[in-house]
Amino acid sequence: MESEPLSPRDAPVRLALLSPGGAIRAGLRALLQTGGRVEIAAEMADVSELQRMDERVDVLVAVMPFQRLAELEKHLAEGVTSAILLLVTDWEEAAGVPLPNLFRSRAAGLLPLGVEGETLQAALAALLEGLSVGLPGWFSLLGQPGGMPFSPAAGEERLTPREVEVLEQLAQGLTNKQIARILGISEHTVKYHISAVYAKLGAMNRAEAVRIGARRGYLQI
Amino acid sequence: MSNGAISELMGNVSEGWVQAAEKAAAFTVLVDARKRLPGSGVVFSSNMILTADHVVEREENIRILLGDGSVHVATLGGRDPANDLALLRLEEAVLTPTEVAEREGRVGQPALTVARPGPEGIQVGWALISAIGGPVRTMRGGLLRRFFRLDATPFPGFSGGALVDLNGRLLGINTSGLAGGTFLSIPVAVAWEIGDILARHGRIRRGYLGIRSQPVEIPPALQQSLNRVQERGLLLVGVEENTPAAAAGLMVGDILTALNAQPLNDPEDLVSVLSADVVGKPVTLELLRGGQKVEKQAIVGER
Repeated sequence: MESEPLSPRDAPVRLALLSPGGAIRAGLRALLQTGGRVEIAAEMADVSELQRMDERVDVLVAVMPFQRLAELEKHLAEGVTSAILLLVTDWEEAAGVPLPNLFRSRAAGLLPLGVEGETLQAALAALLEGLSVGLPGWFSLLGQPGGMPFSPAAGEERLTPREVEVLEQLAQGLTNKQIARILGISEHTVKYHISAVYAKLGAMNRAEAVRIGARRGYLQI
Repeated sequence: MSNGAISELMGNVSEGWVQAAEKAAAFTVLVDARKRLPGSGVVFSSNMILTADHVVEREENIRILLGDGSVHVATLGGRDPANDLALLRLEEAVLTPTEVAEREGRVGQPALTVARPGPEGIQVGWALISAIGGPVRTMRGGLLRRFFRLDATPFPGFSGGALVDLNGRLLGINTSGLAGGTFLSIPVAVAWEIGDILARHGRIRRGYLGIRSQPVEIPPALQQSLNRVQERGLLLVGVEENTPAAAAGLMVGDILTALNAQPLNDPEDLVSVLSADVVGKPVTLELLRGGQKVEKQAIVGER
């Protein structure tokens, strides 16, 4: 999946959005434009509209059921555009099938419905670097088994943003009092958050909480 | 030498040790900051005490018992969990200054471990500096620059207590919390430097890249790209904006495998190599991206 980056770093990236739902397109627009690098060149409600898509679009972001991928493939095969495809679809449906041909023939990525802005931005950046984005299982098919990240056990609770903030401060070796001052909350509340962090991570003390928290990708290093 | 002279010499030597213990007793305090048996602490200045971080489990109502039997309330001035040191502050400047050994402890040097495990008084043990080690990564995720390994008998209150020479001058601060219960002493020069930073800033400077990561296995095929055996790396799950990592072009999905040729198997490895001395310096980051080895330069930030 090696290819030259389509746009030099920091040059605006031209995007086309494809989704039948106007609200979904509006949501995507908001998520994508926070990065500052993105310019929305076209918006479409149906695959048939691909015909009138600007050739200079770098990335086509399509939100559609996985079953309709063949239809999209057909339209793209007609040589409408060489844009990178970023498909946002039902991840579980996609997990049941092998890597679609479409992903072999062009630079393409796949993200689950309900994707967060940060993930969307990261996926876009990776695609523009000529990398693949998608289900880990697919990449072993390509002969490049990706590392399998930690996945939380069923029923494991994620830390809240506030708990992550407290954990960040613990990692700095700060005292409860210092944490309270920095976050503008009471020491009592800090202690409450710390015990919630211990419980969720299964930690007995600060050092353990920091160690486990770092391994699960909560802590900035 | 006559029997009388030998006897006198032995008497002088043993009297010397007794005096050494008495001298150390003046600057070795009891630190009551956890439910279990209390730890000890060593006077750092007229109102500050250095102790082992792991004995400070409670941040309120930390009580200090001095050699004269007086009890004082202390507040936590700062922690360096990585090196297992914590600084405590007293309201009043009532502490007896510590006499520090002029010369750093040496391998083979006989010394005394001094602790204050309870109100009955100090407890003293024999300790031989059996080796000097470091820099080494500790169980607490830090890089300990230098330490004394002790051939010593453990007793309650050992951690946070003093290692003194046979003249009662401080050689180090003892801890059993850095390396799975083995008995170490942090050389006074190292401990004092950390104490100075904690006294001034309340915390330790650390290097910062701006990534969030999870350890992942590196498949054998990818290890070949690295030209070495390294079973794990750090899969980047977040690259924060406006950070050294973002400036260096790191991306979510990259697997970070080494920093300045130091292999990274766990986020803790990264924490260890990002100690204060690399802040502001350029480092080489080795990554796996799309199955290829890639190197990026980053200037380490500070947290």
